[in-house]
Amino acid sequence: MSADDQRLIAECLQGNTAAFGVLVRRYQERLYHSVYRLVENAEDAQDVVQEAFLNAYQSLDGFKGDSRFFTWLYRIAVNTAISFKRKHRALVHLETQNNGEYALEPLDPSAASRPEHALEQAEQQMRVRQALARLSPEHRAVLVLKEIEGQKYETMAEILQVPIGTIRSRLHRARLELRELLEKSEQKE
Amino acid sequence: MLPDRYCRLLTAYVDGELSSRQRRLVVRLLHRSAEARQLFQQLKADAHALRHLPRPPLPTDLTEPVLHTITARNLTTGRRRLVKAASTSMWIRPVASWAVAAAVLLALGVASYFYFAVSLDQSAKTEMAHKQPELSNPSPLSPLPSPPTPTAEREPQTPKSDERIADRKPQQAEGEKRKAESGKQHRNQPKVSPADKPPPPKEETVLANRPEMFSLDRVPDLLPVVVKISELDRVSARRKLLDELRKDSVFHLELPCPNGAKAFDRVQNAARALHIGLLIDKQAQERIKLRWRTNYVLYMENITPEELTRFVQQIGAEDRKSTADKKNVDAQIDYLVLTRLTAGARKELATLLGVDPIPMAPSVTGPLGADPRSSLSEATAHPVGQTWARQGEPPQPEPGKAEAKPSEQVALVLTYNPARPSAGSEEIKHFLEGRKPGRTGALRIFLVLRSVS
Repeated sequence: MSADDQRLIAECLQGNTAAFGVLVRRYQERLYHSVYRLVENAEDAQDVVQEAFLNAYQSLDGFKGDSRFFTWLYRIAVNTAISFKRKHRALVHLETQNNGEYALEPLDPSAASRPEHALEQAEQQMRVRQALARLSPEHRAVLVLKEIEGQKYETMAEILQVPIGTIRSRLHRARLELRELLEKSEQKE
Repeated sequence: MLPDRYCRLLTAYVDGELSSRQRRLVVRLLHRSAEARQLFQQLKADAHALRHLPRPPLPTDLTEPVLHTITARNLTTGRRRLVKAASTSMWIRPVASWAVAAAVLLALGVASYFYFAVSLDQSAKTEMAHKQPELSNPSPLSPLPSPPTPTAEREPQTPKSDERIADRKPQQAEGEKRKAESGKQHRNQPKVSPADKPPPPKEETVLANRPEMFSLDRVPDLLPVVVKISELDRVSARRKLLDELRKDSVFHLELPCPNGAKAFDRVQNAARALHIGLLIDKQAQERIKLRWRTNYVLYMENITPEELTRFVQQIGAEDRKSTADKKNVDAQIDYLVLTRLTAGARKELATLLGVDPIPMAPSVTGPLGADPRSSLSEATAHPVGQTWARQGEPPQPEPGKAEAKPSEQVALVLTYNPARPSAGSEEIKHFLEGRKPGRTGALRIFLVLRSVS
């Protein structure tokens, strides 16, 4: 854990709420990106991140500093997102169905030099996103942690609070399931 | 088909989490198996695609909402367990309300059963009483009534057309008249001629005891929206409320509370926090001072949906602040009930103000002599300022510091129940005189703090 994070946490514990504001500003973007991939909706992702920060604030005295602050915070956010997804499993967001994400997230403008490449890339991204959305929250979480966050098995095990062997087998199943879903979507086209 | 053991090695190879011995094994496998090579290429491509998904930017900075919620909910570090315990008790409330709802439904069901059972029993008795004299004292001149055929029995029970149902009341009246006549005849004339014999009782007597038929009419979209105020800390809940508020320009809001006087304290604190001026009617001022149980009305104009959402959120925050760490203080405001202003509510509002404030006709002057279009004049600003000063708001600027910006928003506060404001009170007149031209998308709200037991 960085010395600066440690200092800010100490200040928070002494009642300085503004110090927590610095931590929120520091990690919100990164946390939001991963949570967004877990819940597939911008508003829900904001709610989950906000809730995660509030939970973290209330549990701050329980943070022992054994791991990095972000890892600890990330654990809270991932657990909040997973339980959120479990609660809202029956709901299907129109945004996902309509692939409205494209309207919100413009593609890299440099790709405009090759229109067909941009189109292929957009289609591929859409397929991957749809396949990811169809995975169970647990499988999605390991893939997001591994590929989007670039975490090691050990850190993932710490975040998800499961043994490394479980992470290994979950990732294995998640990759194969994702492959199967992608193959199906490719066959449809 | 590759064995599962090899598949596992391949996925772990993509993750880059293999020992050197395992890596050598995978390299050998890839060298000799085309299927393994294909799967590995695919898994690698999938991982690459995942890594290169676009990174959505965070739409808004969450620092302010997080810090605001911490302050509003009075959260502290290390209170997680307490919060958990509190949240456990919170679920009891919805469960209890469901139980109450179920009990009410059950009671209604039982009551309806007994009501209809008694009604049907009475009609059956009437019918029997009607038949009995005929059976016990059969007239030698009149033949015994032939038993009704099953068809004849069934026929009247099934109304064939709406006419039959519509005509049932006159028939019932006719039946009763005949019954009375028949009773009279039995008492006074032992022998009854066939012509005077009352007609056999009709099944419509039973029909008449059935609940009255009604037709369903189409009603305008006036269904209330219930918002849990504590959930307004969530972006999605705020968005939903904002969406509702953007559907119209005039709304009727209800804040059910156990005690209107206590709830008004929360509203007053919220208004103070957001620099919303409260122009309180004299009668309301007295009742607030005496802390009498009262329902209050707030009427506001020119408030945007965003400002209103913030105001409601702040009311909730003030409520939580008042109850935090105080065992004897109950939460006052849990829900907001939002409805578009109905004709009835509008009439009610017009009665309270002495003028219908909704239409703002250009050259119309209200009955109190107020021009709704005029801006806040000096003459109006002064009494409003005096009223604030009486209530201690806005706070007086400290010496040496710049004067605080005067509030843009003014809410008129009136008593609603049990006392009503006196017609044409000074505060109402000042409020109406001080009205400003409406901002684009601004709302008019009729907010009721209603005590419910």
